[in-house]
Amino acid sequence: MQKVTRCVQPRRTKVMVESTFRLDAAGRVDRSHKLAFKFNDRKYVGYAGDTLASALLANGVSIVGRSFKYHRPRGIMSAGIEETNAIVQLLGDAEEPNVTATTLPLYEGLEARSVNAWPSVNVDVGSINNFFHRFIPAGFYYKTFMWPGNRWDWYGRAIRKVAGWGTAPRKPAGGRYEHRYHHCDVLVVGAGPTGLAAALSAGRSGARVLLVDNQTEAGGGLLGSSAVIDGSPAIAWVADSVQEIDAMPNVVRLAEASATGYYDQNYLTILERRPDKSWVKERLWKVRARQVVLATGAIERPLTFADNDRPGVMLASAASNYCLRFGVMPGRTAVVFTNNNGSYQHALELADSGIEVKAIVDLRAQADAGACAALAARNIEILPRSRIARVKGAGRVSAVDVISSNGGNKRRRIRCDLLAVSGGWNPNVQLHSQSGGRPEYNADIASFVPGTSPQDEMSAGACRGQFRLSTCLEEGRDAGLRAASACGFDECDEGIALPACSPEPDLDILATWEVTLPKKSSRAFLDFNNDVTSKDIRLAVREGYRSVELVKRYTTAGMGIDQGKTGNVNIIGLLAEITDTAPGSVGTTSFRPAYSPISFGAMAGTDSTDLIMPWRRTPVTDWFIANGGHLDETGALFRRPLFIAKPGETAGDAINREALAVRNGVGIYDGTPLGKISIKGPDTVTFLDRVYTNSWGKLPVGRCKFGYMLHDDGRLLDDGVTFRLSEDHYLMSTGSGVAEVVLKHLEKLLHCEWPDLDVYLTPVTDQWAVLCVCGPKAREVMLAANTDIDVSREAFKFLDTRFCRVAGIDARVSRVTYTGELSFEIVVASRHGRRLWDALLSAGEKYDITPVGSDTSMLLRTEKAFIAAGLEGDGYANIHDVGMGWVVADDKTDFIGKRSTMRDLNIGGPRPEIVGLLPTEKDFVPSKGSPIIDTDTADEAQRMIGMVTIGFHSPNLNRSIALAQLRDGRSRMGDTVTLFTKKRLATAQVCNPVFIDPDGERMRS
Amino acid sequence: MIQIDCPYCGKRNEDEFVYGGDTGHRRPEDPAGLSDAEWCEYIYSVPNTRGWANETWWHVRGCNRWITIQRNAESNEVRPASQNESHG
Amino acid sequence: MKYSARTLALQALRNHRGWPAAWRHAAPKKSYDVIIIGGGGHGLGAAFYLASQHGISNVAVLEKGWLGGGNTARNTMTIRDNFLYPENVRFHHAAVNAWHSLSDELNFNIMLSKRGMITILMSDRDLSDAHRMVNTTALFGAEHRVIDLDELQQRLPMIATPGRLPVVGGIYHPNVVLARHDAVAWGYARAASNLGVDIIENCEVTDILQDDRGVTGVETSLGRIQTRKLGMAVAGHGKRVAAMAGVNLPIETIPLQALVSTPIKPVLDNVLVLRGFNTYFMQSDKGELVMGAGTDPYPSYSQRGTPQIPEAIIAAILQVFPMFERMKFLRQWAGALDITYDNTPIISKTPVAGFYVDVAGSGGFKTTPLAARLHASLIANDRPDPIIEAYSLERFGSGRLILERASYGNR
Repeated sequence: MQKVTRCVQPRRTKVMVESTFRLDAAGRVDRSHKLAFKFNDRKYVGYAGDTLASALLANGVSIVGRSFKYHRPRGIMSAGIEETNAIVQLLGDAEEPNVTATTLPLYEGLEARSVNAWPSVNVDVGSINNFFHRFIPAGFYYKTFMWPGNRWDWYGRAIRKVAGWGTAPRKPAGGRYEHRYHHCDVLVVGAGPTGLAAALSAGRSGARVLLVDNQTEAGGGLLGSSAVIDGSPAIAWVADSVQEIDAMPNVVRLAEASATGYYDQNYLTILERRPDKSWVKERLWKVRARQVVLATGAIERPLTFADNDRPGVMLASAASNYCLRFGVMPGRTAVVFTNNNGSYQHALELADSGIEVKAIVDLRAQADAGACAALAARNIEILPRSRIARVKGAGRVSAVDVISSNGGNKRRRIRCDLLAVSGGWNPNVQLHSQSGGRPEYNADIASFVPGTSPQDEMSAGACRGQFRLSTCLEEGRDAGLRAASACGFDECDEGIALPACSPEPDLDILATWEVTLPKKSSRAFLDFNNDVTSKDIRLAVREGYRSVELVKRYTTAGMGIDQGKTGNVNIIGLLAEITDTAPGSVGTTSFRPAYSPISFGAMAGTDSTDLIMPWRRTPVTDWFIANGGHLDETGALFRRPLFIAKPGETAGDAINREALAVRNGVGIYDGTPLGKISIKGPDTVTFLDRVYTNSWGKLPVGRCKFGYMLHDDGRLLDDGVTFRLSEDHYLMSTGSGVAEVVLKHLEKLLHCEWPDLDVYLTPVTDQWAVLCVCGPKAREVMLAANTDIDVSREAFKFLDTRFCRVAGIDARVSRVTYTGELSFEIVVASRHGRRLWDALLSAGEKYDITPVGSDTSMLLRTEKAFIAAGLEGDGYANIHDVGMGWVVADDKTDFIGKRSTMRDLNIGGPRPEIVGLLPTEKDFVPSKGSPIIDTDTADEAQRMIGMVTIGFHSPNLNRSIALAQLRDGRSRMGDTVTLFTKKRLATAQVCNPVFIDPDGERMRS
Repeated sequence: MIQIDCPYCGKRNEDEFVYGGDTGHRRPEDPAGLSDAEWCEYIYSVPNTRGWANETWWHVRGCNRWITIQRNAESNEVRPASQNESHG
Repeated sequence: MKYSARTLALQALRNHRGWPAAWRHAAPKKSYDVIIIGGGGHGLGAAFYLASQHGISNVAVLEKGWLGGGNTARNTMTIRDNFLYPENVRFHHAAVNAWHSLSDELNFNIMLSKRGMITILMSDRDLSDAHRMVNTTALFGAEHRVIDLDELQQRLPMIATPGRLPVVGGIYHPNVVLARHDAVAWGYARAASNLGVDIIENCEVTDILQDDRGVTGVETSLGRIQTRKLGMAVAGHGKRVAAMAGVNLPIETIPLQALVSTPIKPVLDNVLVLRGFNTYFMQSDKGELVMGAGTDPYPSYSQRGTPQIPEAIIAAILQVFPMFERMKFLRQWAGALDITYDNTPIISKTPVAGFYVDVAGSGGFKTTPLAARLHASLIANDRPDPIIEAYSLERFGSGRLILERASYGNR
């Protein structure tokens, strides 16, 4: 099945091709384990241990994508998380947009394609933009698309189509995700040499350590390095260290786990992909660490020179990494272009891997003297004080033109298919910055290093600008020890013994922010992801966008998928150069989570199921579900039936039937969601007097009373009945939706304002089931249900509450009503709720007892003008406006809300008062919020004089009715007003809001 | 996700708590004795301190107590309130 | 230089070397007729309207950082008028309309794009409550329409139902538009600067000076500057700056967080609001999903954001669009909102003569052109336009608030 082909670009034949750029033996891939995959519809083969990027390189694929704006061909530039070019769309069941090929482990059957290219990456129509690039510099859209008229809408639609990278999958991937909380003493981020040393030292001290690393295996930069530790390849030291760490019971190590966010008080989020031995696709860890050691390493940055985005231009460290870690040659003939000593080692590594390295083009005058002999031995020419003036080749580098100032500025062409570049190293200070630290510029490395840590955190090693392996190990060890010691684990020895490392030169960097461009039209890219060039930065500055934040926003530099990991420092450096300041005074833009993107699935965790908002049941919920109850969210996470429809009934039919039953026969509803607060303590009466508008001193045991509770700003908070169950025990009922709000209000007053009051509150909502039998025949049902007390009108009065047994169940029965009818509210322990419900239904069968839902209750309370806070009692209304002034005890010096109510009275003027409305058309139901308008005024601001708060068809009155807020409404009784509802006008007569039984005979009967 | 040191339960995540306001913002002793303007200032105006302030938080998913802590509204750092500020 | 396709082409031939600075980077003069504190959209807009509509061009805008660096930079670009209370409906409806001519007025493309918004209703109660908003707004000419489940599914074929909450219908708001937030600040800055306004960056006001007749000037990090008229249009620090004049603004600073996904090809034209989860999202011109929710549960000046809010927002979105499971959260941020007790702006005179404020927009980006214009007219005429009378500071003395938040949580 393997056919060997020698061409660089595989032929169109759809056969699996063997890797042509694969080295014979090198690397950490498992050659016994072949993996077939598809990229842009062609089949390829790679090995276990490859990333998609390394496998593509092994197969000689140079163009992996097209750029965002100019659609220039782009190749793989890096070997890690910083990749800005190789952004692909995963296909098939695992469809996923915007995946970084350099971090995606290869798997059998992987299918991916390039994004942002049509019809293909090799022939992309969008590349016409590249031809017109002059006309579309940074911010060009602010200057045009304004003609004819404001037509951005039209242009914008066209432009949006070509923006974006991948596409949203059409269906869910069906993955499962979870969140895990974790506490540790020391969190070490990064398992490179620094992180391993830190974790080892902290682990040996006995501290609870969590070590996380975003690669598939620990080792960081050592995985693709020729470094030597204690005379052996560094990777052996890595293996030993990992073995020791994994054996420590107090250390947890996660691979493929990226620390993505650093939040307040050492709370970090860590995304773990493919957790071992688990059905979970991704797991988001939420870690609270006492100490954090950041060992996040550094990322190499490119140089800014003409056509530095050509496929075949790669970071020098990445090129070497592909050779050493993956056994893949990213090219056959290389030139190295650098401004620092780090690249010399990479050049040697490339050469030793079998790549012909022709030259090191060094911007500096002095090369790394220590490496000269080794380079000479491999026939690698060093060209000091030289620069790349031109990159030849259309789809891939074919040669470079070099100008050496030593050589009289003459151009010299060197053929190559790989240009390995290094502009220096950027310490990964993102997490430090997220934690609240401010990175500082360090001229020695021409980049930013962590500043003062505002949290319990320290950076060590390369992310602090220390690039030497020996220093990294030492800093790692020290950081691990210090962190452990700060957590009280200070009886440890010296942590790990520092091993001997191969010597390394100083970085000796020549800060270079832009290599001289050969032509005016040349373009050198800073942000590859968003296609921002050095000219764009100059243009922004010329136009006055000087602050780094403005430059970023005007040019979009640093705002792409890579969040500026490679580009930001180059942009800051160039901006400093242009504005003649220091990079340190330009400063960085703010780094924000996520350090690397997190899937929506992982963010949601198990909250993508019903668990997002677990809903509450009552003992009767199942009955409603089984019997046609139309459930709806009704506050406090309860789902309650709005009505209970019989087969064939519409909602309106059901509500009418239920409402008629309550007024003429008997109904039953489930009032369990009502909030219930048990109140005890000697100062309860004082407390109730202060939080309710009325007086509570004279309430006898076995009686209850209606109360109104206000906010201190005068708004209505809640209304409800409070029972006196015994000498020192009261039970307050609250609205279902506001139960917790009321509890907060009361607890805060007790704890913070009146700590002298001896009162205790206990929320007991879920402890009691509440069923309410209501209607003229309610008493018959209570008798039929074997209520063991006298329920006659004389013995059991309105607002009485009694302990007794109903249907053999211990209960408390109260004469309270929410419908205006004769009602018995029966409260039993929740576990007996369903039994009582069934008993009442069978006791009521011969009276045709009718279960009613909350829409029906709403209709019934509307007929009675029982006020609902939130409808009638909204932002404007005070207790007098809603007609509840009778609940205010005027003789009390103070209660919550009194002062604001007094203020309203002091000010005077028109008030929004609650009235009833009888629409002229009897079958016309005005909808909620219909404005009442003054047709005589032309002043728009004065036109609206009121508003319908709720409207219904009342089956009991056989006509439509409504409640409304109306300016000075009580003085308008009998007037005809105009409603504006659903864009039509209608009239209605203002009336007493109590439509049924204004004297309250029925509820007292 | 700030962490609040509850004197009864220890350090717990903020999502167990409900913010209760600046402890300096107390209800006046004698509302009736205030002018409308003074009363309105109490109702509508909060200290809104930029920096350290004593705050009360309700540990509703915990011990159900109202506790007082100091929080820096600029940095979100949290520390225990001084003893005399505590309502504990 | 006028911005047009022609000048763009001409400049292209010169490699764009001839573009002038969009605005002059001015050094402060000793005194101005009017000083505006705050170089965001509202402040720069007020300066522009003072110069263009009131002939007052001896104006300085003082910005402590970079232009548009406050909430102008941090909002989610949505311009809407779905309010409940007449005063707010009237103001916000006029404010939406004020955007349409802005690109032309400023000769700067602020990328106004007509997207429309759909509020997805997730309970029968939501549906019946929706009529209240639709009825009130219709009275003032703002178009909002309750749509049933069929129409909703037609407009959003990819919507999945049911998740934890049912989808029962929606409110369609055809006139909701988006604008490129940064461009609003830059466009105003350029236009104002062209009319002679001095725009002074990195200039922090440290004190407000007054005598017995009112404001006399400001003390700044660049020295003392005199003026008799001072407008303030700052967000997140309104209380602190006004306190320099001895004015106590009844506001609280609360973060509002937002986040974006990595960019994808267009998949969503409308702005969507998930009523049951208090979450909204839309897709920007660049392809990112831009997502947000209500304000944080406690006040803070920190603009760093928290982990739990993005998680909650994304979990909510997955309820309705489960196919976004493998989309990726890219970046989060927070803005500091100044919020009044009634969640309604203050555009008003103050007890100090010559000191005017336009603050507490509670997400005031959407009102920028109208609020700035009326703030300018308030400063020029020393009396409010009738449409902002309800937004006076005095309402906090009388208790005549516009308690938008007291019912039916707005967005």
